[in-house]
Amino acid sequence: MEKTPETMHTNRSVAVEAHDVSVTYDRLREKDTLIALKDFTIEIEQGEFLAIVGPSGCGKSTFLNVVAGLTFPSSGSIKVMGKPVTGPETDRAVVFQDYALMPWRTTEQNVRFGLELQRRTDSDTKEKVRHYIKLVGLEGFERAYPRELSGGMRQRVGLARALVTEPRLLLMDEPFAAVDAMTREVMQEELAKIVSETGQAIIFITHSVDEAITLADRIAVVTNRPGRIREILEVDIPRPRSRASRSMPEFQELRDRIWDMLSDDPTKAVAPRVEAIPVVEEPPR
Amino acid sequence: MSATASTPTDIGTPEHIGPRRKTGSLGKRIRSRLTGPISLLVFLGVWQAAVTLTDPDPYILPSPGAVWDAFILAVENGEVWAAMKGSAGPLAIGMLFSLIAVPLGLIIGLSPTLDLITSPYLWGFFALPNVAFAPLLILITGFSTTTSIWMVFLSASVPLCLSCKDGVQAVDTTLVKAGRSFGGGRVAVFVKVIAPCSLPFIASGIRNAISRGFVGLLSVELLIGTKGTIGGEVIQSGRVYDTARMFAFILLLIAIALLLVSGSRWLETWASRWREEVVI
Amino acid sequence: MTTTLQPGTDGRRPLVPGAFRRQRMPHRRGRRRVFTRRQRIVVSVLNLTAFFVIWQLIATYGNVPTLFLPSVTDVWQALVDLNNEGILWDNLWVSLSIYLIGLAISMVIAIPLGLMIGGIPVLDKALSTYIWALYTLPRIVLMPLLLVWVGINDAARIWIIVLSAVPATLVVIMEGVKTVDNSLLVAGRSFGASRYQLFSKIVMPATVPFIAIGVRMGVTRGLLGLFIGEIFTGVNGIGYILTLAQKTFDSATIYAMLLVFLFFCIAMVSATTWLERKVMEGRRQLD
Repeated sequence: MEKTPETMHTNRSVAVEAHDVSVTYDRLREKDTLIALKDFTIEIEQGEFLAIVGPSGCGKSTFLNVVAGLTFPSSGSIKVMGKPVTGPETDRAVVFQDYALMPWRTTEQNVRFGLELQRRTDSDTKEKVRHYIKLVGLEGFERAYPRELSGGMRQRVGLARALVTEPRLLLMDEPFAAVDAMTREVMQEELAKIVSETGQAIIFITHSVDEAITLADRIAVVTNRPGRIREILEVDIPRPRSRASRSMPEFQELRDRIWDMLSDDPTKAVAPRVEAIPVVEEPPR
Repeated sequence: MSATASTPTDIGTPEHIGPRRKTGSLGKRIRSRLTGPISLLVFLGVWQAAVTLTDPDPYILPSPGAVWDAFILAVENGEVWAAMKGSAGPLAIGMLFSLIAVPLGLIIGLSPTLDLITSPYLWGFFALPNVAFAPLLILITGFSTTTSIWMVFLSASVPLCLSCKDGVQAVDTTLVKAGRSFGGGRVAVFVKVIAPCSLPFIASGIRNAISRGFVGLLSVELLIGTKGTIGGEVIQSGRVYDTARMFAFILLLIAIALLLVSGSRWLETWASRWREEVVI
Repeated sequence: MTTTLQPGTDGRRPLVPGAFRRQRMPHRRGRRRVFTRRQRIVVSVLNLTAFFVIWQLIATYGNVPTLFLPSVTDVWQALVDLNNEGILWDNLWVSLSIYLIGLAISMVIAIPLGLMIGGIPVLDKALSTYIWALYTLPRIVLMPLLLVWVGINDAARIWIIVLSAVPATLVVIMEGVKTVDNSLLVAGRSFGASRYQLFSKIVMPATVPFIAIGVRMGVTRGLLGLFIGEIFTGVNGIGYILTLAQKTFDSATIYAMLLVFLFFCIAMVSATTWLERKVMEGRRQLD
């Protein structure tokens, strides 16, 4: 990771700074404007694991897209590693909910994919790819095509593809949502183990409260339409957290608090029709 | 041939619900290999039986033996060889020209504006059976090889262009997003994501283009009937009431058509081998 | 809302043509254009107008021989002339009636035969190779044979339509019958259904969509057959007009007939598509 002296100097411990980030969309068919995200303000420290919990459609994925540089905010500012976001960079990597693996590539080639696009392939690439395939526990499946892998294994490939680019910020968009419940538990444990080794900051989107509490250092609870942060909670349950942690009173208390926030959301059932707001056509530069 | 786009996802067309792929034991595989030859033998048998039993005028229905003799004669004359060369030339040149439809189709697929502008013309061309262009082309270019080349080009390029366009438009958005999330620019995303993803569509387009181009070629050859092309030989034999020779050349045409189709199917299967549902 | 941002929430997204177009995320450089219905209509009208205007300009001032490219007004004049001389509608009607007769014969043959071949394994084994071969075959090679056997007349055209439409419809229905879920048949048998009942209560209804698709295939393939027939036997119908125009080097008439052909094709195909949708809707209401 090339660090310019400037970024080293300012906010060395802050990975993401989002200040009053709003995102709106013009909807052509409905002829209105939709506020996907409203006044998101949050700071994420280096090495921190932040989970964002909320009902589906609350804009949590939009926030992830903003951080990834795939969507641009209509207003507000977003900085990653002290630099304003102008597009995807090599310092972050995304793990997608529906894997987004290239079906014509084998596991090994899929893991290389990110490095190829970042033009960072060299003589060590092969070794690195091997290492991360091993890390996510896919040894022996290097030559398998995605269709030959189970959902859990596909997501391991997705994780390896993100990790191999050695990002300082890992963005995970409901990564285990399409995986069956049993595999999910295993994956959560392994993810916790892997990130304790690699140590990057993580934004983890989920709609599972338990998953968030099991994995995160802090949890941002987002409520529906327009999506705003209701509250940010610290999780002080000691690590490593296992299934046994779920019966701890702290865990249950936290879960109840989050559920209360989510269920007394006054705007939950309201249709997303809102007043027109001008849409930013060009990304800020 | 049909007015519906024939793409790998279009399960509505029978190209994609063909006879099931036979896998399994060796015996089964041998049996499935033999269906073709056995069917051919049965066909010849029925034909011979019909000739023996009804004894028709050889002008109406010659016996398989007579057709075979006519074929051998034509081979020995060198007429078969000359006709095959005469037909292969325009087909190959026309197909080569029509390859320009691949980049065009990809570009149209990438740009919704271009798609909106070009689609009425492309679909108009596609909906019209390409035989319909033959009279016009013959009028404009006369009875020459140029007519055949134009006809092959017109018949093959439009479906190819449409398939390539469909291929780009069918690319999974999440894959594009994944490519962009790793910092891929437009070119990189095109090369690494969109192009490989549309490959099966391009291959299916080429298969379609080959069969359409062949039909286009035939329609011109059969309409003009110049000597030295396969279609022309069919017509020439018909004119001198040599039905046996006509049958020989028609069967040659059928054999070539089936070979072209199965060859291009193989290409398509190869290009889409990573897909879950193997297109047959 | 977020559905437009992350389209695939149900695992793997099906490869639907046009999906790429529907994405609505801002691009790094500019946004991807998406058009509303009204924009589409406006653009299409402008587009076609521009097309005809440019055609007219090239034909008038472009120094192109009229044989290659007659002007739009000439083509229109040719159509008007054909109409005034009473050639157009009579011959169009001849072609249409031949087409409809051929299509009717084809469907009467193909639908029951397809159901039978699909449902009876022995027939399927014996015949499917031939049907597939006939389907794959360029039908145009059959035309010289038909001219020898049937002669240059209406019957030859009906034959080529039938030979084009039947295999197309047949293969769809045949393979459609085979897709009937086996568990449905087992369920039927568990209620003691006879072979005939299995066929009429389960196989037939389950194959209805395939019959609809098969008919559509037959309609388009039949059109191809009609055109082949028209062009090879120019005694009456649209083919007559074409042959006449070709002999007199009247390219405007040929262009006019191409436009008529195009409308004919579009009319036939959209009529079938409409019918197909009606069948499907009726079916959905039954469910």
